[in-house]
Amino acid sequence: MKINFIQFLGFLLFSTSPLFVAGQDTLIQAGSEWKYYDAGNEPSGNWTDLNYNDTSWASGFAQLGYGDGDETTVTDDDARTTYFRKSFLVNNPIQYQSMLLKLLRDDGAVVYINGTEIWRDNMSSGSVSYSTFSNAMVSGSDEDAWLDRQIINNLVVGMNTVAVEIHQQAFSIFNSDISFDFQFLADTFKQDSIIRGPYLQNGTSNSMVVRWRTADLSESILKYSTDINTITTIIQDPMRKYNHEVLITGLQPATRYYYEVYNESDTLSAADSSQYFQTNPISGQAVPTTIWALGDCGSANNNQRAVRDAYYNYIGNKHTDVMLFLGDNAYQDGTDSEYQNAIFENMYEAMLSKTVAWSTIGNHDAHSASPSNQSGPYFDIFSFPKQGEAGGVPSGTEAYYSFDYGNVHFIVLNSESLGGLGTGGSMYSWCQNDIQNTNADWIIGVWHHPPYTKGSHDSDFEPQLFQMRNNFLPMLEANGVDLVLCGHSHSYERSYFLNGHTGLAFSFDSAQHVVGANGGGDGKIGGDGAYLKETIGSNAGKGAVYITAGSSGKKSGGDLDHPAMFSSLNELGSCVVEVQNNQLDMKFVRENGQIDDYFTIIKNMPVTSINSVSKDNRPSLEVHPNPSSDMINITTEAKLKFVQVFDNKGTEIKFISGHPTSISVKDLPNGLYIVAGTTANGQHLFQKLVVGK
Amino acid sequence: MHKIITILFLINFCNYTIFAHGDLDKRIQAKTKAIAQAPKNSTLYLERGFLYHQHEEWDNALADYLQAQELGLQEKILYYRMAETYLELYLFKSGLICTQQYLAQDSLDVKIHKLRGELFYKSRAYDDAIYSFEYVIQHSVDLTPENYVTLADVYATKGISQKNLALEVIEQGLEKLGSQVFVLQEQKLKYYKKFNLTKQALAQYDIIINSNTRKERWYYQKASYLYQQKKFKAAKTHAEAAKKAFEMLKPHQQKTKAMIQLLANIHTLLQNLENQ
Repeated sequence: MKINFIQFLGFLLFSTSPLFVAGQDTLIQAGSEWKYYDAGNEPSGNWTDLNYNDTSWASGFAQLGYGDGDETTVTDDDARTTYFRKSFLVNNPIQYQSMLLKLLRDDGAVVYINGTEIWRDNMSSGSVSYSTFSNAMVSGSDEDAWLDRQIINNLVVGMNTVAVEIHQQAFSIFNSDISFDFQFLADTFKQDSIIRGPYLQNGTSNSMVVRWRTADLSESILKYSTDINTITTIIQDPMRKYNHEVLITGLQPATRYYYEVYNESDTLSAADSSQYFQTNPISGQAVPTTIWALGDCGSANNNQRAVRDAYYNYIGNKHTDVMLFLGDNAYQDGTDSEYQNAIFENMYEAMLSKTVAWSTIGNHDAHSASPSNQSGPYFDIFSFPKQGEAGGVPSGTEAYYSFDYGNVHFIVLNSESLGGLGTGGSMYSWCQNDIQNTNADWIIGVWHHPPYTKGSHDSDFEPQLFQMRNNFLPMLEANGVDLVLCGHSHSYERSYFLNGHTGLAFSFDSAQHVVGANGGGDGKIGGDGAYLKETIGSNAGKGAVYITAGSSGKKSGGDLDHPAMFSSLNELGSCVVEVQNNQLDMKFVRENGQIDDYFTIIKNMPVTSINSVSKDNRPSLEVHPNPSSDMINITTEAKLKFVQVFDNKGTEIKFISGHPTSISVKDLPNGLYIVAGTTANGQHLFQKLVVGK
Repeated sequence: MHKIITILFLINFCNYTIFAHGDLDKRIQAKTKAIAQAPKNSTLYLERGFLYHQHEEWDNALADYLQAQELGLQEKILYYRMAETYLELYLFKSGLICTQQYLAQDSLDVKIHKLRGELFYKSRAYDDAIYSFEYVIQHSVDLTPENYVTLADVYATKGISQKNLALEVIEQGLEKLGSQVFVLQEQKLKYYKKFNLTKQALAQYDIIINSNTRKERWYYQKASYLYQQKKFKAAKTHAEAAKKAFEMLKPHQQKTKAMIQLLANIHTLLQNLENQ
């Protein structure tokens, strides 16, 4: 088919492929000579390492493999897994901005550069061994297909090594071949493409921040729409930069928007069904909420990926509403390049592009970042609410802040800055006002240093842990905190349903510190029973569960015998918290998919909804006159259970039970509001209201 | 006396923490082994010193830092860590000497000026503390409420003659960080009360009440202040407003310990007002 000049120009301008500028070096050519090991077992020692001695391995030119007849070098057809290595010299790695790997594989492959895994295809998560089969059989034209993977530069001066293991799918008469070839291309000039993100930050019920990093200076251009086929609304910042941050405002609550990222000449990240952002529901509204919490995840290794994949398998196609990093997100020092490997590349990019990530600062993050002046990579990478824009009281700092998601209020504290942990400090004062200002049904506290742990850290001795327990816990508990999520110790430790335990571990007394008849049990429906947070009787308002969940990247053991803990596990995993109305369920999902612990808290409060927010087939809610400065009339064919009026920050201003036909807005300052009606069956109906003449 | 008690506490705490578990202990042990193999390596002492520092074992940290210095290390990070440690040990003059050695290498870093401000403030050299904290505010890219509160507190400590300057600093903070930043609004209220600016304090209470969604606590606080000022009628109005706001809370909010205490306080205040 011929293409004319205009079509060709259009292709150049609008191709979704990265635009290569100039200067590409080929570090490994297709058809190169490789060392290989096909002895029918796993090579001894760390065969992926740069310095591994592979002199005893055979060598041959690619394509390597057997069974197809197109191989240049035929390897042993008895080997279930065949191992390949190639070393190459790089004198000036800094000249390379980004790199492209191309892989021909049949069936599964794991690729390492200098001992670090950077690509896995057609293989399950977790550790692999000689006997691990690939996920699926590769056949037909796929056997000759080159797969691409863009990576950032992680080469070193001098010798570098690529190591690849090719796994057979299963031995059968239908699959008696393997194939391997590889190319390594490096761009000496910057390449106009996204090298970080896009990722979502600071989501509210009417706004969203989208961030990304480009390899070259470029304009920030973002398009979005609720219709994936008609993405037209555009935001453009002509200032050319590497790190892009776009604030989108005027959005509808609880709505999914698809988005695309551009530079001035190209699509950098095209919309698809998995690239979207979803605005928060209006603060205070009870919607089913899924929270994924990861503590001390930043190992940038396969443990971390296994924990990730176990959660991905758990959640499937369901949307994750909140992603929480509990600190120490990138080892060893929280540098920008460590964040690239531990968070953004070959790690959480699929989740970060559709779910807002929030974080608290860990001690390792603080090696390179300073909460006192909000400087360093941690503060450069994340955008957190300082003005209360996501709900809560304005803190004026990103070191500690709060946000709402539906009927859950999150209070994120900075437990790293020891000097700021006193009861007379600014953070304490802010926190007390914040927790006494929320109307959310659930309150979750988040910080790094756990009040109770006997893992790789000890809460009896270390000052931050001690101070958080002594200073903040009494205040948080007095104001009804329900759940506290921390990291720091690389283990999973989960408490009973507690109140008032601020002493050392030995002083824990279940008769004194456990709340309710079920509080000292397992918290499991079907077991000892869920933990009950009462509103009447002597236990009213008391009880919280404390979780140390710092094993999302590595596990480091410890005594694991804190008496306040129901469960103490030296296992990898992450926490899934699911809130629906008056029930909170938590599961600890291991890296192998097993759920090793779970519990439920049930809160004795009126249930306002049992359905998620749905935009489909909802009756309309009309408000008139609109604008108004006096009385507004409300009409809807639905029968309302109650009506709320929210300001533009999502704060509830009015609550009227029953089905009012009119509401006075005389007392409201001029501005934009949301009138929300909730029906008896839990449907939420919204209408914007302008108060003013 | 305060200094002696603090040092005794620190010594006691250091003895206590020496038995601590965890990553830090393992890392200290590993660093100690490394030092045994290379006892002349000054960087190793700096690194181990910082591990002690993280444990708040200040005397051990200082011993390592001094050893690193003895072995010839002159990096500015060493002087910064030493100054931090001297601050914790209430040895302010020694701390200031270290900051001067840092400044000789890097006079622009806001971090060292902040630390000097703290050292000057603790040693009651208020004018020097003001100079340092002002430098931090003028030269920081991202400021926090604490930057303003710290500077304002130095002015406030100097006495009532400096009240306008203390309040001015808070105003600057509100302008820079956002007019609703709670810590600064609350600090402003504290100064109005401290300097007996009753009218302004009452107006400031209203600003905080209006910026809060839940108002029960702040109505009560204002009522208590009015009671102290012997403005009984207004105090009663606000105490009743506090009670009404409390009654608007959801049942599970009313039953928290803090709100039960607040309600009891409101009742006590109303009772006292009845007796007037």
